[in-house]
Amino acid sequence: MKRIITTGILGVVLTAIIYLMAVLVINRTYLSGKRAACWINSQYQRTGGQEYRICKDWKGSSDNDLLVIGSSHAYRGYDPRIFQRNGIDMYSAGSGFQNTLASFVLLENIFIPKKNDIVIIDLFDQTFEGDGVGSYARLIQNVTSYTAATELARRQPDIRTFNSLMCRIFSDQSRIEVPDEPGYLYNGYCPKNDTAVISSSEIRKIPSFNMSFVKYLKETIRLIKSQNAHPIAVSHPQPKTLTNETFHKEFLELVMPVLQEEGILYLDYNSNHNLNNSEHFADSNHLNQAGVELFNSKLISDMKEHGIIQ
Amino acid sequence: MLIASCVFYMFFIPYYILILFITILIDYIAGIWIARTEGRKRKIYLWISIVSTCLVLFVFKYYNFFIDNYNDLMKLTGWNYSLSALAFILPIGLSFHTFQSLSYVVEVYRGNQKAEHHFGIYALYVMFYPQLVAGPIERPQNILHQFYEKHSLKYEDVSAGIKLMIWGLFKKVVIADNIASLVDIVYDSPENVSWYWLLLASYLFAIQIYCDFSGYSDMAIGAARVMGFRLMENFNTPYMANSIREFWNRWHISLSTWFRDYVYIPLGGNRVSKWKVNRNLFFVFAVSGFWHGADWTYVIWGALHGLYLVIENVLRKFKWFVDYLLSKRFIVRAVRTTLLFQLVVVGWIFFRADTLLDAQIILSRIFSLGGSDLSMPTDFAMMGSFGLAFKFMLVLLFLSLDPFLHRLTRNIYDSKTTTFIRLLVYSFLAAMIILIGFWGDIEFIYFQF
Repeated sequence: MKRIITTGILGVVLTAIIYLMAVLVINRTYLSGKRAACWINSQYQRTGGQEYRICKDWKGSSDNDLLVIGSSHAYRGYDPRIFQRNGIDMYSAGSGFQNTLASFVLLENIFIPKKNDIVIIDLFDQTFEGDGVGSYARLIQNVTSYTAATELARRQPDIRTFNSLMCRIFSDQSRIEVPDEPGYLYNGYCPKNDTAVISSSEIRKIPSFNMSFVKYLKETIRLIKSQNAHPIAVSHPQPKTLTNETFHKEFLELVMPVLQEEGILYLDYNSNHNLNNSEHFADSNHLNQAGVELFNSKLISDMKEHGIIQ
Repeated sequence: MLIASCVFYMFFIPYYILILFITILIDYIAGIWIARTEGRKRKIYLWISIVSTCLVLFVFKYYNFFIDNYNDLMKLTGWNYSLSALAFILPIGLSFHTFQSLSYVVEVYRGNQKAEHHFGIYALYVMFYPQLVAGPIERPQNILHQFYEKHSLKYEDVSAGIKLMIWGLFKKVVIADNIASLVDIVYDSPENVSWYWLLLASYLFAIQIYCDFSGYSDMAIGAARVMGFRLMENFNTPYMANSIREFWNRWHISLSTWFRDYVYIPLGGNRVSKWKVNRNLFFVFAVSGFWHGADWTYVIWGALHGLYLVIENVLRKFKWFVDYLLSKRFIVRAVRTTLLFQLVVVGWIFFRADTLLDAQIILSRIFSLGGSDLSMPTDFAMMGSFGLAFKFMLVLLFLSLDPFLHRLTRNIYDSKTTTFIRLLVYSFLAAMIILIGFWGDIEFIYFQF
């Protein structure tokens, strides 16, 4: 037994040394301007892009601001200029396919809301599926706080998030490998001006929701409340021909009990809108600027109607 | 250990354990009755056991295949007598534990194995969790007595077991799963891909399935070995074989020897005329293909290997062919291995293709060098040149290391290497498993059988 334990410990130590050396090599070697690690697989993400930009531009909030958190809907669908015109300082802390677990960690460690801030939790049904590891990998590599990166890896204990964290530690954080999203403006907002040809025959698959994201929705709401800020939930418009009613209906069955239990306002624009597929959408998921103008005006008006803003 | 095996099995579809329990009970009772009785009755009990075990396999695995073919035939003839298919999910490892149960009753019938009177031990023989899901398909003579022996943690067993598990896991997550996406992209829509990508994906699939399946087998053998149990070998560097016959002595050994012992030899083995030997070989391999999956693609894959063996048998009459098979000259060995690999890859095209039509598209495009004007699949382009190069490098590295590591994990080089060197090799493999392993949701290919 003693020999098994001794050899086992030696094996673990050797494995750790080789692993760390390899992590160092693949994160300090660049091929075509990209870290060697990033050529290997998607758990190793490059520095830069939207995740990097939203953290870099965040200067903290002042009272009565509006913070939007969520997936790409959050950074493509809420225009700070429109909110500014209505006297609201808005910041989008959205990142690609960001789910509620990631939102929770970001709100806890980076985008900490202040008293009386309004926090819009953008609920995109598709982010409640899967394991979210791709999104975590990008965030772990790019968030400005080591605590947030470690928290993401800790709350989703997976060999891939562990690897992402190790890569962040061993990579040169000052070397930006990915530029900002094309058209990036400020305060996290990144509009799209394209128009899309959206196939009406496209059908979404049957949902397979990850229940831990529902749990984190509740945690996120409670975290915002604990900061004396005001959470509201919003579902961004989706092209109507693509909106699979069953999918969104099942999603609502999943989240409504949480939203009702927590007593927060939910504005669902998923298919409840008059936007036109070919004029107001940039692709099958995102609004273009014309769509954003209409959606944001409607949202602001509805928020006023519900007494959320003056 | 039986409880652990039950819990393991119930992770998939819990209530399927009742079906497994019933088949275990039938075979357990049949084994005792076969041993107790003589004459015709023994045969009746044997057949009751075989039929009931095979019936479960038929209902879950083959019923829908026959119904689909029957319905297609009805459609062709214009008759409107279609039957509806069953909506069952295949119980995990069904083909494997069915064959293991069959080998028990046949061995008891043949008098090579005493009937097992301890129900728990017999149930464990069928359900032993390291090999329950995808083999190796064990024989009662090899494993049953081990369940009566006292096992304690021994350094030699733990060390040998962990080495096998590391090497198996490396093959699965570092090699097989890393190249799986390349194969899937091409095979999902072969009509949109040029001949050279189809050819490349077919070669990669040959490596993928080997690493996937032999990786599982090594992990199963290793996990059992850690606990002190020795399971039979299932793979022995098959792509290094000299001939198709040798390939099958090295590939999925537990299955090929099962078919040899329980189908080929009862059909007459080598004691019948050459024509019958070849006919039986062809038949056995077609059935072996059908064992893999209820689809014509698997039947053709098996039949193709049967055909290869028949041709090889015919060629063995010629001295030049025997010289070619036995030659130790490097160039002849290289040609032999390369040619054999091509034949095996043609077979894998049928095995991997979703439909017979897809297999036909792939083969015709490869052999006519068609679709050169088609652009690179988008997903390949997204991986980038270095991303693709990395995957190919992994494959080449594996191919060059496999014979060495196969022997190393079987302790063959122990006298030539120090413990530290060996530890260094396994630590390197373990570090690579963590660092470059593909940790997405990819099942073992043979789990579907």
